[in-house]
Amino acid sequence: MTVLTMKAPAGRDVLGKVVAVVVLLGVWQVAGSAFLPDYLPTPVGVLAELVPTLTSSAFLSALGETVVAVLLGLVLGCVPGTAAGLLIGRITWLRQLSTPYISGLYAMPMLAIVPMATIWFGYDDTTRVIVIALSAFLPCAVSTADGARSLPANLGDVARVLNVPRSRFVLDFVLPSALPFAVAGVHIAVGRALVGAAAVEFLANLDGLGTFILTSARSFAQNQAFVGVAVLALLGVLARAGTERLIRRVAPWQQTHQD
Amino acid sequence: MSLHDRRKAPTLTSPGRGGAAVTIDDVTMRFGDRVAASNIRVDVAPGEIVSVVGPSGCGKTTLLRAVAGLIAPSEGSVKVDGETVDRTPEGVGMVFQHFGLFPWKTVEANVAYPLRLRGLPKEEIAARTRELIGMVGLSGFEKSYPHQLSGGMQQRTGLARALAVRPRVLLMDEPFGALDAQTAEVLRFELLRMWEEHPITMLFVTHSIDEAVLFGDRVVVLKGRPGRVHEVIDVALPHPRDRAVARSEEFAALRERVWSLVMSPDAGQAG
Ligand SMILES: Nc1ncnc2c1ncn2[C@@H]1O[C@H](COP(=O)(O)OP(=O)(O)O)[C@@H](O)[C@H]1O
Ligand SMILES: [Mg+2]
Repeated sequence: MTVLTMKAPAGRDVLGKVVAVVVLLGVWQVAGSAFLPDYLPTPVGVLAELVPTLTSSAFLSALGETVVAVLLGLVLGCVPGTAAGLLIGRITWLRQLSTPYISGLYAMPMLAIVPMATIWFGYDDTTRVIVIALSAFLPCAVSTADGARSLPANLGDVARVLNVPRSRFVLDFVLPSALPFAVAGVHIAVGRALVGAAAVEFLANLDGLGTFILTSARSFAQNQAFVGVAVLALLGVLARAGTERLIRRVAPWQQTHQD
Repeated sequence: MSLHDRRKAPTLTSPGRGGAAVTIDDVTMRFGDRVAASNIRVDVAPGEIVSVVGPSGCGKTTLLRAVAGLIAPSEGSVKVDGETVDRTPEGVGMVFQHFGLFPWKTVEANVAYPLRLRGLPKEEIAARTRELIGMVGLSGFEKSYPHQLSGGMQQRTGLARALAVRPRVLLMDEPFGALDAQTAEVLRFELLRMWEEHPITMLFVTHSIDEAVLFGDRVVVLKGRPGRVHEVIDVALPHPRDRAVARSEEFAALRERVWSLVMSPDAGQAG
């Protein structure tokens, strides 16, 4: 578990970052147009392509396909993943039984199963949703299990001293302490879901952002490809910023979360 | 306002000592092959404070958890008012070294939780919670979350929650051990003042010799690993136990005595 402190950057850091970005863009523009004008996207080129690409029907349909598949896959993966995490966290024999498989699968890149998945489920949308759901299931299960298992200091004793009945224990102790971990699971799942979606689209040639980027790049529309990449990155950044805010909201006492 | 049940214990209008009797009868605590405490016998009279002092690892927490019914003794038994403890008896409160607060609940909700659990009427819960929060000096912080409070204030919350059930017995596991020296000092005298107003039975575990003498009507000195009762000292210091008492010669003499017992070579700190 790496520890990530969630602090807003201080005001004076912002100026430094802006300067760095401007310098980087300048170097990129000059180098791109000087050495490889037809192979590299350039900032000016990307800017010129931005509006036409974002409003093109090919891009919008690709974006829609990917976003719908990711949302559907996230729901299908995160809901059972969180439920499984709660059970794994609280039921000792289930945890002992499942831990080797869960950690093994968790460590394996989901990309590895895509070729097989396309054969089992076909070169269609089902495969994409299944790969996304699987990518989302594991981080949700692992993170929620951690949260359900470890109550904050002394709280387990508190429950027993107060003779809290089993049902109230789950409701008043386990669920609230697992909640921030469940959100942290979704936080990780979002990133993995986007990677999974792009990977299936590349490999199975499904309509979506991944394929849009691939096709654009192959037809030497580098600036257009870059717009696709930027949108994909932006989706990830926005989603993760959202889940991070949510963690801070539901667990303001927690300075750290899983990744 | 009283810390304990009005039917069973005296209140402000009828001074005296309330609380239950606690009998630790030849208790041995084992974890597998490892013996954590061996043949402990302590009788605590109703309203008495017994301090348990000893070096780290001699089984103080384990013993207290047995009294709370959190772990069963391997041998012997614990009784509260004559009834053998197999789970935490009604009217036994516990204060933890690391507070044990719900991080997701406000001060108010933390204190009210035991009352909610018992399904008391809303107005009664609100009134009693206000009273408890006032008593521990947290008025104005009802809506704060534990992470917004200092350690001392968190432990005040923990204390208020333990008192919510009107306990007959209060079990304290190094309650000031996680606090800085000044805060601990302030809280010690406040707790003693509260106890003077509403005396109940207290088992007070600490590794601080000063604290053991200051609180105890008797001090049980544990020694060795596994911990055994090395000596029981009567503390004939006057009540209320305030700063003046803590500065007295008698206090210093008792502290010296407990110190030499804890430090004596046959206290067997090796192992
Ligand atoms: N749950 C446990 N399992 C195994 N050993 C334990 C457990 N709890 C305590 N012990 C052991 O029992 C001994 C006494 O521990 P403890 O009661 O915490 O001592 P103290 O509170 O006096 O520091 C220690 O050696 C400790 O390692
Ligand atoms: Mg201890």
